[in-house]
Amino acid sequence: MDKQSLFVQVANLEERIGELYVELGALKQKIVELLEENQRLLRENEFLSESLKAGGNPDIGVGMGNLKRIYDEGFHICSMRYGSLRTEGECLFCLSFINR
Amino acid sequence: MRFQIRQPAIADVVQTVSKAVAVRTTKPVLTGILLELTPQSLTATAYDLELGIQHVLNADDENGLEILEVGSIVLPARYFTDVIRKLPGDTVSVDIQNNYMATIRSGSAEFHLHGIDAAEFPQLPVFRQAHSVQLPSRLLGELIRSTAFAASNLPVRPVLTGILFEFEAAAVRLTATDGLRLATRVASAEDASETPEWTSRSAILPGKSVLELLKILPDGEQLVTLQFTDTHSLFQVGDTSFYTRLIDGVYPDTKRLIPPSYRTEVRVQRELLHDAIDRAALIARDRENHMVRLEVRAEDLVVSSSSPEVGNVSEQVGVEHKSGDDLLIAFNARYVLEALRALPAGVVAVRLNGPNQPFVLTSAETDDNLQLISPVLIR
Repeated sequence: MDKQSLFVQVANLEERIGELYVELGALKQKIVELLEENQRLLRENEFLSESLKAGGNPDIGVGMGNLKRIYDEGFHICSMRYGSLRTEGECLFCLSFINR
Repeated sequence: MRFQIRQPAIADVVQTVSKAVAVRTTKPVLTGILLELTPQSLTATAYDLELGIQHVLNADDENGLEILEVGSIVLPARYFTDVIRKLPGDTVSVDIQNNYMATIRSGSAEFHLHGIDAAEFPQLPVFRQAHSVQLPSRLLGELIRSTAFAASNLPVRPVLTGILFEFEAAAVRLTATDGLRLATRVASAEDASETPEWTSRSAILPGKSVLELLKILPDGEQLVTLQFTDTHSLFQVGDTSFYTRLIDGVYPDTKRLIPPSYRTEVRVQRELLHDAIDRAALIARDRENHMVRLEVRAEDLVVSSSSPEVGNVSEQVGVEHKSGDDLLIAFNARYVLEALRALPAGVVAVRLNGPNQPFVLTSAETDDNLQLISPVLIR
């Protein structure tokens, strides 16, 4: 195998790896979005079935408990970033809401 | 236009305004520095439409400014700043011909630079009857240094990338938060406007611009005049005017984030606590959240950190005073170190409400400078 074709082959490989890397990044973002959407739909489903069972407004204690659970599962519940994935740590806005 | 000036004087002016030159832009004129010559003064301006800096140089013996023919021109900042800095002679002469070609002479060097018509340069915002406040430069610098680091770098929530300036009765308060920590500092200010309406006004300034402002603030008691309109702010210090756009939006109510009471308070020398956490952070530096633990136990404070791969560290810190319950809390060491550096030297108070609650770092004497940090939950 001559040096030229070897180099071309490596360059092609590099390009393909680069493309794969970009694809992986996009896929990761997609997973985050799906997780968020799934959480939102789960919540909505739960809320609807609960309100159907209760036949009226669910009381505030249950709502607060649910929000606390969503927060513990790793999502923002504050008005700043409601429903988005918490990646950095404990959010001051969410904590102040839970502790109110 | 034609003028002569001492090289250090013009190098200084160009250096000051160059911080506001646009880097990535589709409008070439924004990558330039506007030079305007009147019979008495030379004005240099850079403006990237978000941040603008203008410096007026009046002719005097020190700068040796000699105005030979009035006029104006925009010169490309990238080349003009470096050319001026590297000129060989003590005096510089600049001469603009009709076709926007600048001739810069110094010693035996002669440069020709292509300029742009000054009429294309955008107008700086106009401040007519704006509300104004005066603050000593050193104090304004301290206010910024105590808060700006806590502003967010992420554009997800634009208001959090800004610093909130609030004007209360004879006082100014700066607040910055990224949702994980919050820094707020208050200082008394003099009302310099004709009308007292500036009280209870607020503005969100871009954090990046405020850090640029910090670089041009002199470290003295010289007064800085702050002016605000609904869209822009202006800081005037000496002959330099610093313009910045405001961030549009509503800043979240941060007052409710600060716990009104506390269950445990520990008073400790700032340097002792800072250095102990700095050492403990060495073990945690490769972990994403830089987790360091702080244990309040009887009359002791223990700072510790461990990592399964690296090892562990534990250090006892002498406290000045302790009140309330014992507890163990974990936090991001980087946030606590930055907060401690923003507090004045001496005794600091650490006020805690339990392992899952945000905690406050403040000076033991006064609450003027308050740093709030969210914990890392120990699961």
